[in-house]
Formats: sequence, C-alpha cells, structure tokens
Amino acid sequence: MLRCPPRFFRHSLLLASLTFCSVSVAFAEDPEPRPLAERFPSGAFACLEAEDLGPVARQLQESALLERILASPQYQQYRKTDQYQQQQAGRQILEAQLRTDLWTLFEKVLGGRWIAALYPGDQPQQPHLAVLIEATDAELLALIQERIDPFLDLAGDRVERFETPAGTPGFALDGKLYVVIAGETVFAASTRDLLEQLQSGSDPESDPSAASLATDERFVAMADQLGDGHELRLFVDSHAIGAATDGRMGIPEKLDNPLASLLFSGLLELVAHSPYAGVTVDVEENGFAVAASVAGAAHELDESHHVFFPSPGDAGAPAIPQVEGLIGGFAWYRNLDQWYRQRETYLQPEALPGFDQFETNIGNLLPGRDIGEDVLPLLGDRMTFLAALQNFDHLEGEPGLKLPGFAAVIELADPEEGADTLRLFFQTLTAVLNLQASAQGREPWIMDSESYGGAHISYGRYLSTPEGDSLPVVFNFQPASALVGNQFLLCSSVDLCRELIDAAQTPADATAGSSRCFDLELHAATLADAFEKNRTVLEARAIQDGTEPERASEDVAALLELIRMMQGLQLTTSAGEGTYELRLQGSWK
Amino acid sequence: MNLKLRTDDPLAPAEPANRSWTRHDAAHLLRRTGFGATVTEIDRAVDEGLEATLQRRLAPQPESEEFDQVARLLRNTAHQTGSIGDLKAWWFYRMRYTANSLVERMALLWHDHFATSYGKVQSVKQMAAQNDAFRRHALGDFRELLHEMSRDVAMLVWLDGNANRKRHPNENFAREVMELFSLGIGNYTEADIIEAARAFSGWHVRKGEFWFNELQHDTGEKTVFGRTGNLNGEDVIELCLEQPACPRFIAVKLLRYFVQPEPQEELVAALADRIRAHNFQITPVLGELFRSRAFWAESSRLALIKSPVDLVVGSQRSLEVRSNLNASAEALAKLGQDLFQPPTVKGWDGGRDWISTTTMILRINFATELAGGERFGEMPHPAALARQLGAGSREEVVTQIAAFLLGREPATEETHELAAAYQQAGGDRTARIRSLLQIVLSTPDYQLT
Repeated sequence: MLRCPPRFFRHSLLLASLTFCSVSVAFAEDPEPRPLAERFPSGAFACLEAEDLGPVARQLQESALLERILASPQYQQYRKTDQYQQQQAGRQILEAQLRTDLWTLFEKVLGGRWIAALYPGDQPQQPHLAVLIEATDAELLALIQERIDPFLDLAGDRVERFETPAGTPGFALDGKLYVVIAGETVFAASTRDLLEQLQSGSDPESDPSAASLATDERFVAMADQLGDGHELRLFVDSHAIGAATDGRMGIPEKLDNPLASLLFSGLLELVAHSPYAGVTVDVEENGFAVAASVAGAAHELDESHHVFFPSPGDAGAPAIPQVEGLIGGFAWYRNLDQWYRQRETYLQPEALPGFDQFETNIGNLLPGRDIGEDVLPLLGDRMTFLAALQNFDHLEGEPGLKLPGFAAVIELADPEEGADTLRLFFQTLTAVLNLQASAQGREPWIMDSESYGGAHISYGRYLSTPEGDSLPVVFNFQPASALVGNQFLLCSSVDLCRELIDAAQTPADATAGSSRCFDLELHAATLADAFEKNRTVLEARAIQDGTEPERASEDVAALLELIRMMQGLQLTTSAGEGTYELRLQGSWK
Repeated sequence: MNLKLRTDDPLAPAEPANRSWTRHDAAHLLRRTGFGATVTEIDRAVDEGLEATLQRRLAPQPESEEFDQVARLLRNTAHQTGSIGDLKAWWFYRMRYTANSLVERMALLWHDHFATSYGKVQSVKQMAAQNDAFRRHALGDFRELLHEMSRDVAMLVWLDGNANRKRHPNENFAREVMELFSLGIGNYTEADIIEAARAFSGWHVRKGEFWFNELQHDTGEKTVFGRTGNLNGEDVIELCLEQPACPRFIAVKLLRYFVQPEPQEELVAALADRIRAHNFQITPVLGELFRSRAFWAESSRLALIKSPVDLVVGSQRSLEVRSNLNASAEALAKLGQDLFQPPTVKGWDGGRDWISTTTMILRINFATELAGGERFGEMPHPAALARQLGAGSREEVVTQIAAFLLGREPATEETHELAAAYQQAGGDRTARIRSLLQIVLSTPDYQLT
C-alpha cells in the first residue's frame, strides 16, 4: 500500500487538476452576461432596457421601407429646406469628428445593451436619472471621449471634472449630469451619489444577490410576466408613482368624451390602481410586436368598471369574420346597457348634455322607445364593426367615389325583441332617407327581402337600377339587415350581409375571444386597394390643398406603395386573472 | 393716361392721345375684367396696348392642358363625393387659374344675378349644371340665358317650380323673373305676376330633369304687360325682354359691377340703349363699355370696393400664390361671399355691404396669412416680386410694390410711412418684403379696385 503517491503521480495529478480547472475556467469565461438591472440600485419607479438594437438599426438601414421613404417626393421636398441643410451640416461635422457615420455610431454605442432608470428625487417633478450603456466598441468610446474633451474644456465653469473612488475620470455638466466612461461602459446619472452606486453595482466583486432593481418585487413580477430577451422593455412602478402623486398617477376618474370613455375608461381605472406595468418591443425580420402588461385584476375594480371587461372565464370579444376583401375591423366586449346607465360615473358633467340631444335624435328613428330603457338592454356585450371591399353588382356601373361596404354585427341579449327593435330602426332610417332622396332628386330604396343560408335578409334596393360610371356617393349603399342566431347584422351592402351569414355558419375559432376585451385588425393590401379605387379623389384632395398636380400624383403613388409594403396590423387586449394585456403586432413584406 | 374724351355720350370711346398707355391703365383694365393681375400680365398689356388687350379679354383664349385636366379632375371629384365644398374648390380653381378671366367674372355676375343656393337645392350636379350655363352664356346672349334659367333644374327647385300647378299657381318664380332677373321692382304689376305664374305652371322637375307637366299647365288666356293670349313661360320671358325696363335693369348691373357703384342716369340710359341695340349680346356691349370714357374716367378708377372674390382670388393671382383651394373658398364664405350659397334670392348686395367691422378684421387677417403664412397657399419667393418690378433699392421696393398692389402711385407721405415700416420690420430682405406686403394688403385703399 502506498502512503504517499510518488512524485510523478503527484505531478500528473496536479497537471490533470490544472487542466481540468483551465477548461472549467475557459467555459466559465463565457457566462450569461449579468442583467444590467442587477447593477442598478433598488427603488427605481421606471426603467427602459434595450438589447441588441444594433441589428435592428442595420435592418432598418438596409430596408426597402427606408429606401422608399428617402426616395419619396415628400423627403425630396424636405431636402430643399434650410432645416435639412443645417441638420446635414451638423451630421457631417459630427461624423468627421468621430470618424464614423451615425448608423455605425448607433450600432456600436447603443446597439448593445443599455438601461435608463428614474428614481424618486427630492421633489416629485424632479426625479433622478441613471443610465448605463454597454457599448460594443471600447475604441470608439475612447475616441468619443478624446473628441469631446476639448469641448468640455471650452465649457469652462459649466463642466466639473472629477475622479471616481476607483480612480476613473469623469465629468459633470452644470451639476446636473455626471458621466464616466470606463472601457466599454458609459455610466451617467443626475447625481454623484447615484453615479457611484451604479459603478459599485457594476463591480464584478459585488454581491449579485444584494438588493438592486433586479430584486425589486414589482420589477421581478413584471420581468416574470413579460420575459427577457426583448429589444426594448419598459417597466413602470405605478404603485410608487401613485404614492408620490395623487394616488392615481394623475389619471382622471372621468373623461370628457363618450367614445374615449367607451374605449378607455376601464383600462385607465385599472392602470390607476395597478402596482406596475410593463411594455416590450420586439422586432423581427418582417414584423414587430409591442406587448404591454398592466398588473391588476379587472374584477377587483369597483363594480361600475366591470362593464368594460369580460368576467373571468367568459368568452370576450368575438373574432372578426374574415370576409372576402376584408379591409379591417374591430370587435369589443362592452356592457353598453350598464355603461349608458352609469355614464355619469365615467363622464365629466360637460359631456352629459349631449346625451339628451342624442336621445331626442335617436328617438325619431325608434318611435315610442327610450334608448336607455327599451333598446340597450336588448343588446348583448359583443359587437363587431368591419369594412370590406365591395363590388357594385346592384348598379349598372359604379359610384365615382367607391366606398367599402360597412357592417355591424351586434349580439342580442333578447334576439326576438332585439331584432324587431333594430328592424324598426332600419326601416325608419330607410324611410327618412327616401324622403331626402325625393327632395334631392335621387333614386329611392324600396324594401325587399330574400332567404339566404337559413336567414332572412331585409334590404333596400333601388326602384330603377342606377346607371353610370361616376354615380353619386349614395349609390355605394344598399342597406341590408338579417338575424342569424343571436346576432343581428346591419350592413351597407347585401353581398356583405350574405358573406357574414356564411361566416356565422362557420364554427368560430375556439381560442379566439377568450377574455378578450378588444380586437382590431387592418389588412394593408385591401386598404391599398380601397385607396387605389379612389386614387383620383386623393389626388384631387392634394390639389385642393395647394399641391401642384404632378406632385399630387407622385404623393398618392408614394402613399400607396408604402401601404403595399405593409401586410397588416393587429391590436388585441385581454383581461386575464391578474393582468391586463395589450398586444400590437405589425408585419411587412 | 392721357385719354381725350371726345363727345357728350358717356359711352363714347375714350380716344388715346399721344398713344400713352400706363401700367396703371393696363392694371385698371385687367383688374376690372378679371381677378387681379400679375406683373407679367401688366407688362404684356402695356406692350400690346388697350385694343389688343381688350380683344384678348373678350375673345375665348385656349386653356392649358394642365388647367383642363385639373379642372376636370376637381369637377369629377365634386360629382363623385357629392360635396358642395369640392364644387366650390373647383370653381375657385377656375377663377384662379383660367386664361379666360372675364368669362369667370361674368359667370360670377350671373350667379349673383340668378341667385340660387345649394342650401335648398342640395344637389351638386344641379348646381354645377347651372354654373355651366352661366359660363356658356357669360359673354353670350342674355336672352338665351334668361330662357335657359327658366328651365334650369336648380332654379326650379330653388323657386318651388313643382308647386306651380294649374289650380294653385305658385308665384315665386314668376315674381323673381320680373323683379330680380329682368325688370326690377316697380316695372310690373301684381296682376302681371299672377298671370305670369299661370303661364309658368307645369314647369316642373322630374327625375332630376326639366319636365313640362302638361296636365298641370294652365292653357287658359292670360294677360301680361297688356298682351293677351294663351301665353306660356317662353312668351312671358320675351315680353319681359321687350320692356324698356329690362335693358336698363341689366345696364345698372353691369355698371355697378364694372364701372361705378352709383352710375348716373345718363350712363344707365346710354348703356341700356347699347344693350337693346346689340339685342342683349353681352360681348359687344362690354366691348363698348370697356372702351368708353366712362370706364376710363378718373371717377371710375379705384371706385369699386373689392368683393371677397376680388380680394381673395385677385390677391392670389397678383402674387402668383399656389392656392389652397379649400382654405380660400372657406375664406370667401367668412368674408360674406360663399360660392353656390348666396344669402337670399337677391344674391349679394355688394358694394359698401362688403365692409363691416367684422369683415375688415377678416380682410386684415387674410392679408397677414397670405403674406406671411401658408394657410392660403405658397407664395413664390417675395424677392422675386421685387425683381419682376425692377426694384433694387429699398425706396424702389417700397414704391413699386405699393404702386403695383394699390393700382396708383403712392403719395409721398405713404411712401415714407411704408419705408419706415419696411425698415423696422427686421429680418432679411424676404422678411421685410413679406411685412410690406402684409401692410399694403391690409390698407383701406387696397380694398378698392
């Protein structure tokens, strides 16, 4: 038995150990970069993080979209202005000083990781700012520092130079911004103390588990909710802001616009009581996504605000029917009846008298009925509005101004009585419009009907089919209505009504609508087609505004080309168990 | 201008002596027969002389291709959208850019004379058709125009033509034909109106077009102006034209529009004779008028208050502004002359009624925006105006621009004040010229033409 290995064996063991350690170190030298938020002191009430904006900038620089914008008549016109000349001069001076172009400057300085955070100041209106930038090119940073040094000297008393405890030189501008550039990192803060906290947080020796922004409870919750790896991520500690202000972050309890209230009152109330919110931005090769999350459960708000949100587990806003030629539309979940009854809760007093006039006017179209008592309770919580390209088969020719077809799909709480009431509205409106037609010498509608897809369509057709290639705008409309299940369809064309009936027969997407409050979509191709059909009107409008005819034609062509470069846009909002989420997505070709 | 006045006839031609023909003379003719005048137009008129310039105004001139295309585009847009705002923009474009300014000026006169408002007609198509008739007959035959207006759809809607029925004659149209379109108050009796209404019965609109509703036409005997018979609408119009009051009525209109606000009886009578002699043909009548000593008399210079159209269109033409048609048409409405929407059947009173405290402030605001802003359109570089006028020094710039805009040489005191303001304006030459323009365009004297 050996009591002690021979020297050779000890050396071999040592060598093996060293080899193992060096390999381990080699792997350890490429660890996951430390989150920047860990380097920031805790207590920030807002912060904006960026990561990998460099590739995004490069993508934008090489994009067809930017090429098109730079070639556009508007940009060419802008190039002739004094403002542009001055901007170009400034740019050239800067690029000459830094020996690089601005795109590269952005890529190398701001194209990596950076974070900016706001902290409570001595006064609520004067928060403190802290910024940390990890550039990808230390040489360029050194060059920037070298180039700005003489300017700092020229600034005289406005600039104070100092040295950090670590011996790194820095400067302060007007006592309001303290900056240190160390290697690839830029530290900046509005106070010296905050700057030093930033630097100590960045010390590799510092304890990563120590309290920091990254360990703040609400920041952690937001990061868990939205995840990492976004090009941009914004955090707002609404609880902290609320505590420092009026408790509602300045968000008004009541709005002065009924439509704004219908769309936003619920969300605003949620935000006012929310502990935190976050927004992320992601950019892909052919699209982008903006996601926002507001913490808070909608059903925990006061009951008056429940009208804006589906109950947990309830089906929310319906999916938008994908009819042929769909340009876009929106669908929502709103308890209109309760909103109307409680409107004084959501609206400022000056917005209320308008409802009296509204009730009088709508009363003319719904004889013997009160909108609040007799009509709104018949409606359900789900509505969809959409627009789609239309043909003009109901004409011998086409209108000069070619509008899309429009439709509303209205869920009814009481299909039988609700349908009768809406039909009454439809028929009365048609009669009123026919009286106007007589006075204006145009073709009136007569009511007709047809059966289609198991539904009964009532519609107005022209007594004599209008003929001509440039018919008045009113001939875009051939109003139609139908009841399909518990959905009432109100359309400006019979064809669109038929398509919606077909769509209603198709089983809905099971995943769609769940807890969804609002859904909006826009299809760029059909939108461009709609504009193309009315190209001459768009050109005429530009000429009316004083644009020269040739330029008007170029401007319209540029606009259409720009729209055709897009594919679409979608905005959805949903109220989950503990959060309200908003997602905006866009795509291009 | 040294125009020797030859005989006692106020419409006798003023004869040029020494063949002098100044810029102010040329500008006087151009502005009265159009809307404003550019420096180039005045230069050309000076070169060509009175007769050639007048011939150009009276004869149809070819429009440019761009004008035709844009006018067609704007007109189609108005029909497509059914928006009266678009139709206003179309007509403003025509007045601003046409090569036939006198035609548009006369169309505007007839629009005022046969006042019809979209407010009641509610049809862009019908208003546009009426406007076309005014243009077609602008320098043509007043007789034909009056006949055409009696069957004009917009006019019949405006004056309740469809309510004029055999058993219940509606007198609206008959009254206005006599009172406002051909004779004037006091030159007919109530009996004439009642009988004329019977003659026009059944002149209806159906499916957007004129329709003679035979079943609603009174075929009985009627007596109008002492003439008895089974008279119809056409007969009534011919009888109106036969009345001595008719050419007088038209003469007063033309004189107030082109010469003086309060024409003397002698002048009215002379022009009425010309109208009768030329059988209501407008071109020869205007030709005589624009050559007459009355037109060239000192008392006729800068004697008319600019209508809103004169002010807005004329200023933009003179300064070669690339007009914002919508904003400009809106300005006309605010200043009291809303195209296609005259306030009453009498049209616009005009003259001193164009000026009130409110409208004067609006005119000053217009001047400020035109000279300094972009709301009404883009003005070419102001320094170019000075160059066109051959103005180099500060004094020349002030004097020449003031003379160009005011249509006369500024008095010494005026020049001093303007020069001081020009100097105090500050900024570069462009800014000073803009300031000078704004001041001159705001003066009371600029409101005259």
